[in-house]
Amino acid sequence: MMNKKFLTLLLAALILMSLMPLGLAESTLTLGDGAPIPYLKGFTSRLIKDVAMLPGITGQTDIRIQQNDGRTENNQGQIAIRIQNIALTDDAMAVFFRAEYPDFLPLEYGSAQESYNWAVPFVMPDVNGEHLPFVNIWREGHPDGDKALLCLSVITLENPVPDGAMLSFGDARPVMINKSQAKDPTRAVNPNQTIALNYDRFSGKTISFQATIARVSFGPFGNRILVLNRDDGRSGTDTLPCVLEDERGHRLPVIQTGYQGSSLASPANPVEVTNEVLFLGGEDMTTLRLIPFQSLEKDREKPVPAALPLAGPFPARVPITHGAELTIHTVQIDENGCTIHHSATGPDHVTFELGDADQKTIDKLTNQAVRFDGFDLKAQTLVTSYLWMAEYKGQPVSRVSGEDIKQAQTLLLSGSWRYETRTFPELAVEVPTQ
Amino acid sequence: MEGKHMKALWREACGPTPPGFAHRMKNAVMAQTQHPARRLRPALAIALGATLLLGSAFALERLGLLDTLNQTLRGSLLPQAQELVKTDIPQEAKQPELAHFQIEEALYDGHQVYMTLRVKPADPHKTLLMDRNAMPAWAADYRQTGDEMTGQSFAEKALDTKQNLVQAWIEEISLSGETHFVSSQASRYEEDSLLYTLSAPAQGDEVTLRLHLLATDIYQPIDEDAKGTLDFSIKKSPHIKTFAATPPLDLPLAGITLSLCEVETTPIASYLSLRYALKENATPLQAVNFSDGLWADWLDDTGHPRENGEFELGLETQASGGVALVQSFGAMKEAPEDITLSFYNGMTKERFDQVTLALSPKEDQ
Repeated sequence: MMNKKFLTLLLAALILMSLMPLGLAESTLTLGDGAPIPYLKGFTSRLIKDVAMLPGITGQTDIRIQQNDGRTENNQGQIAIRIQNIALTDDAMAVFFRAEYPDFLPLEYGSAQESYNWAVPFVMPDVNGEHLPFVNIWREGHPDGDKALLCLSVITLENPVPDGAMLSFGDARPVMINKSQAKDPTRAVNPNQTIALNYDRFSGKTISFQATIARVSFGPFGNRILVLNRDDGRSGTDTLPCVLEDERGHRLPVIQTGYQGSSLASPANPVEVTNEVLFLGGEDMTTLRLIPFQSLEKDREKPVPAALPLAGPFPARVPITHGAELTIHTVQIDENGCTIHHSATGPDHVTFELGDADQKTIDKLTNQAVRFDGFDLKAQTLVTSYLWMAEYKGQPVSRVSGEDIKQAQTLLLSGSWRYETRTFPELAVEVPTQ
Repeated sequence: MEGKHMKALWREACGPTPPGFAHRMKNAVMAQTQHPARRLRPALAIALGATLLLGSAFALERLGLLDTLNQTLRGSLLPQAQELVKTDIPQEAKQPELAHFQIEEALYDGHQVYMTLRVKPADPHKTLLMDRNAMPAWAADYRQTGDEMTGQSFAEKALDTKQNLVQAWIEEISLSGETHFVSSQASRYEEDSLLYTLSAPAQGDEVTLRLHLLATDIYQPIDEDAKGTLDFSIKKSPHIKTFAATPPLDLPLAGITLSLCEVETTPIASYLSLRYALKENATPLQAVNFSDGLWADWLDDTGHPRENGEFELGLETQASGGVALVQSFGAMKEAPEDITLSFYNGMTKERFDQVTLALSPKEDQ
């Protein structure tokens, strides 16, 4: 009798133990599992430099959450989120998910790519029960039917997420990160090199810039410099007031990422803040040169330096200031707006306008357009879009007519606002990258 | 039209996203414009510019309420304005631990309550006050010099004098059951104290206001001791006059129906109130323009927009789906006989209908 009871208990324990790995498997995110990524099927992402770099860092999952629609206008209540894959490097976490809206896709800017990107809900994980410290979030989406989007959020990290960390989204069950099979193709150095610059950032305005180059990395979600800025509240809002060059003097285009400062920082109480600079190219370089620049106020508006026929040929190269060059790779105009793929080797901010055959600005197309700035890592370009499509009750509404669009014959380039740039090669700082 | 994009960015960023992200988004957007390094918010810059125009006279003598109104209002006050100003106002306060707030002067012109509020440190030896818009890195004398990036900062001054740096401001104003977020607070430094000038829209013959006070050590979290309230009542001035047009009026280019157009004049200001809604048969593009934000300028005799007098007043969405637009302008010496309005999309600046409407005293209608 006793033996029978013991055997029954033993059998139950064995059954439970045999099921445990299944249970564990469900709550583990195994990076490098080789599972397919539905997001990438038939779609070329701008946020991924090379999809061949993903298999070693991506794991499949199935996390389902409901999230409130954050929009104030046309709020649709709850969005059904299903996270399908997560990729992780020491620089970025990429969350691939499907988002289904109850009624319609909120496409505020027609069917332009930026409109889909804008419709992607913010999905942020906690790590070990705490908010994930991040630097930036980049979103991208493409439609999956009338109400759903396949989405990608690339979250750039302040610090690597460790093996074994528990990742949670909303009230869904946490998953444990398992890096035992992971193969990260990122090439990186962590120089922790301090930079101190005292120079006239603006005419007559000397700044005392201090930062640490914590890391330079070349990964699947972009090349970046992780910068620890010493914010004293007085030295401006530059993450790095420098143009970038490799050891052969080739300029590297920079993607604007913004600056995160501290409202409590002051000369009496400097605060260390984490920022990043994303850039294109330089994968093989051995030394990164950081060349400080000065922004000079111009006496008057510069005349439009260039007008390019929309018919091409492209790529077209246009000199800007102090040795920098702007390359227009493609210009695409459709009913949604105008999208320009370009790259610049200097920090000058270039404004684009559409002109007629006489190179005169078409005010209506300019004034009615909403500007978006982004980047395309696959194409290795910056992307600027001017969109004139809007939305009303779920339907696209054009702010301009077909006749207005037909007038566009030239792309007009004008220099940055009221500033132009001068570089100081003698103050350059070199950072070894190998 | 980057303002639309910024609005959209901000609107979405303030949804379910973490606060840190909203901050980041704002900075990222600002960074795209490649401005030189300045931390001054645009609205603040305008307010500060207007304040600095008043010059050093502020430092030389104590200011009355009328002296501290913004330049547009101050430049056109009618002679009766001074009669409206009340001093020695009975008030009841629960003071925050680190600062004492007191209403010095107030007036209620029938449309708006204006007030000056003196803030003093509870212990002048231990506390250095900083106004709501300032940052610890800013020069402590920035109000005098107009340069917030040169000179000893608030933080350095507090360190030198071994004082706590305390930011003191008015977070909200409750009035007749409604709470108004105080978006703009003109401030001056006088000796060891701060002088704020505030205003809030009001209705009725007598109003009771509750100011929600905050005074907090900037390096400490805000706790209950940092909060306070100040209550006072004020009676309406009899000088207000109302003039009205005779809507409803259809505006075909904008695709809206104007249902209210009123001008109130007082010795302090003139106020334009408009209400309009999208017509049922409006085109989708008209609906988009309405959704962007449809504004109206009050044009002067030369066809130019009259200068606004306040920053807080603006476009408000009504429960009915229409909008109310309230704007203030300088006081008028003579009763207005008509008004010319020009409607435009606040984002794209595209102009639509321009109409001139006859105004008549409201009592006669």
